[in-house]
Amino acid sequence: MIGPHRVNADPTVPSIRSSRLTRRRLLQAGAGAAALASGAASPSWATARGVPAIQGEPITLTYWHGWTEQWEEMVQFVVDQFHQQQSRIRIEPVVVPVGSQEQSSEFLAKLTAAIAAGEPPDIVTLFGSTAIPTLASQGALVPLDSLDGADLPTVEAWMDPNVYRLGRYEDHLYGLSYWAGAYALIYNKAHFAEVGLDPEVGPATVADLDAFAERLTVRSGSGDISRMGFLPSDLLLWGTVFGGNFYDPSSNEVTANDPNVVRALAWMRSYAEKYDAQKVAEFNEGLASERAANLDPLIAGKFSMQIQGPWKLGDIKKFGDPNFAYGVVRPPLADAEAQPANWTWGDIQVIPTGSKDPAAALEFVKFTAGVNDPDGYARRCTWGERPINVPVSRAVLEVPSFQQVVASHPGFDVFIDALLNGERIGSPPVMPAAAFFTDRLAAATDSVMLLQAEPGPALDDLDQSVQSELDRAR
Amino acid sequence: MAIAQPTSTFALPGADAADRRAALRRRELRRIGTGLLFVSPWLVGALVFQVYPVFASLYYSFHSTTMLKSGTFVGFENYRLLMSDDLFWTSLGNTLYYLGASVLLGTVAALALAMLLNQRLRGMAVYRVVFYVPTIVPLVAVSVIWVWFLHPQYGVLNYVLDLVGLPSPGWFADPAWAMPGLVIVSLWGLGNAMVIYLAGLQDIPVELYEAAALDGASGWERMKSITVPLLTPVILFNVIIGLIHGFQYFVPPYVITGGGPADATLVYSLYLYDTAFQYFKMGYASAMAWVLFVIILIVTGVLLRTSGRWVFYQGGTR
Repeated sequence: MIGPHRVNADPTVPSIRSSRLTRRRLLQAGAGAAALASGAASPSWATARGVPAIQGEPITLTYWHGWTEQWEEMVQFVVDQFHQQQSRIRIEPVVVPVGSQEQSSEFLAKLTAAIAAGEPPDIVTLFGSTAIPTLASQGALVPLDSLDGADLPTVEAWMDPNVYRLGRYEDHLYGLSYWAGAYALIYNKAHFAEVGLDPEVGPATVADLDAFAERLTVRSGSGDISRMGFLPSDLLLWGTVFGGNFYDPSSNEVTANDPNVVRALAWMRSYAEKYDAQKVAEFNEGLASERAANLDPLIAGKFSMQIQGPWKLGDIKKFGDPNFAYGVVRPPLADAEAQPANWTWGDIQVIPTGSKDPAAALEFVKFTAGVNDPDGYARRCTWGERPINVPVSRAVLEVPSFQQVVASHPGFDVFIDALLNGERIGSPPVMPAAAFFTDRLAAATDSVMLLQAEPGPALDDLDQSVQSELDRAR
Repeated sequence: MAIAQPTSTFALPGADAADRRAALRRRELRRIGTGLLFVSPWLVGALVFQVYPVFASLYYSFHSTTMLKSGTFVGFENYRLLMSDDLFWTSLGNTLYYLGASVLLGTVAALALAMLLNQRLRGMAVYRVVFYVPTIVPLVAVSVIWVWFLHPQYGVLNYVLDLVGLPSPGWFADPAWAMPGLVIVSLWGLGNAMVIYLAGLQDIPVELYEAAALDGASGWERMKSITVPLLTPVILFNVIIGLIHGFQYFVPPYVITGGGPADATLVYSLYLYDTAFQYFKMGYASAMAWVLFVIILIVTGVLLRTSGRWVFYQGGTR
């Protein structure tokens, strides 16, 4: 939260409280005179940012997001819908590249610089909730609950609890997600038929997965892997599927060396051992370049089975060979008795501190999350006709146009069931050092998958270094 | 004003001289003022964008500053933490590895190329341009091109290695080979050093070679006893510049590997960047920058101090 001691304590970080004060003053006096008065009386950033709009007066809000190519059009689609619904608030989307590394590093660097300089955008989409604790703990985000018209009970009732919590940090809500990510395993039916597997039966357990993958993998004469049956890569998902937790928010303890996470990483490592770690790494390297060239490894047949998100179904329909036959099953269970689990993240709309009209920004934020507007939201979260992610609310499942999208994209229901049926759902750890955690997790996974480290010690090290970072950040 | 006062022929000569001197000083001051005005864009730029940040970073290095909080004074805490930070040592080790390999190979290769390009052949100007041109290509573009050259499965280099029956490494996919891969990429940009060596070579008096030839010195002996000794000042210059660039090495690992695999290419500047712009720990990152500065200062100082033993200046005593 933004503590009272922070108000005006640091002129580079404008506080939401003083911005509301300016507005109240503005409403009390006549418009012209008040504008002058507030300009003279408030700190310089307030005049630079302009004064908040009076209710009913048109206002233009700048909206930063990192979506490019087809997804940039999708954002415009959502913004157009918002403009059709009301005429007071104009949204001006700005594409800000997220950077070549993971975690939107360049995007966040630009965002924090803009906030520190007192010239932030008014609304921002964060890819994933990872950055929220870091930003919120430094007072960079406006708590939505501090705004008039937030009406949190309605929002909470509308949203799935696992998605709602993505926007929370400590006792405040900082953002709402457009939609929610979920994972499922998509497999190539032609490859299954080719090696004599039943194309209608996907792997149910990790043991099935291992057996299938072995039959589906193809090597060239030189031993290079030309087709990979399956390759586990995401420890966050598999650690959760194996029943592990990475962080205990009640005690602020990093728990990445949870025995179940260690078990998951040991299982991932078995792929590096079985298929030759170096060959696997080289195969992966090849994929990185192919992704750059917009060649999808699954559609191109480089993988027979892959963990994917729902948007892939839309891509297959739009860009894939019309004869590409695929099946979708939930992420295989750790064993036959294990509880199903999944992993979610979001694309979350937040309001940076210094936004020129947080109340107006909130309206757009609530619009993108579709609060209490199932019909409109069903259209927006599917870009009219295709699966992108799982909707944030069960209410959408009853909307006929949404049911049509589900019916015309076999497998979409698997993702929806996985997320919205109250199963165990993991999500990025809610802690200020989350970016450091994500980097260290990637490095630890790397070294284990390259057979340079054992899962247990690697995760112990990770635990220790992130814990001390976290303790310092708190 | 003094100028308005007409000077009488009977005025004291001393007073007249004083007046003239004052007028001169005024004109000089005005000239200096005009000059300063003309260079002011640079001056302001240097003050605002270089001098101020340098001192601000020193100040921040003693504070718990983040991107958004000015933080509190913590004394030498940032520096103390740095010493016990495993990643700091990893990144410093990686940087020294890169530095050693790239400066050594770069010096030998640039020198060899410069000697080749110093021959009297038809169309030499074209060759010189050809070897210099890669230096002009932006580093990001170079990095992306090399991702393909060194691709483990489809790369040209591994294809050639395969043809001649040599094992083909995984390059950027293999922690052991990722750094050698980056060193190879660095050789792509040796054009600058090469041009300086070329200028140095042309500076060596022809008489020395003629005299040596008359005395029956072979080509190898001439190179060993004339070319290399007389080039040592240029070599020293290039090695120092190479060291400074090496310590600040950033773009290719940022673009190609992001520090991976398994931290094998996490060089100092990359870790510094992550600390500042990904973990937002500005105070800590500032401390890292100052430690780097001190390291560069010491290394350069040592190099300059010891250079007397191996650097020969024309006309000098050694």
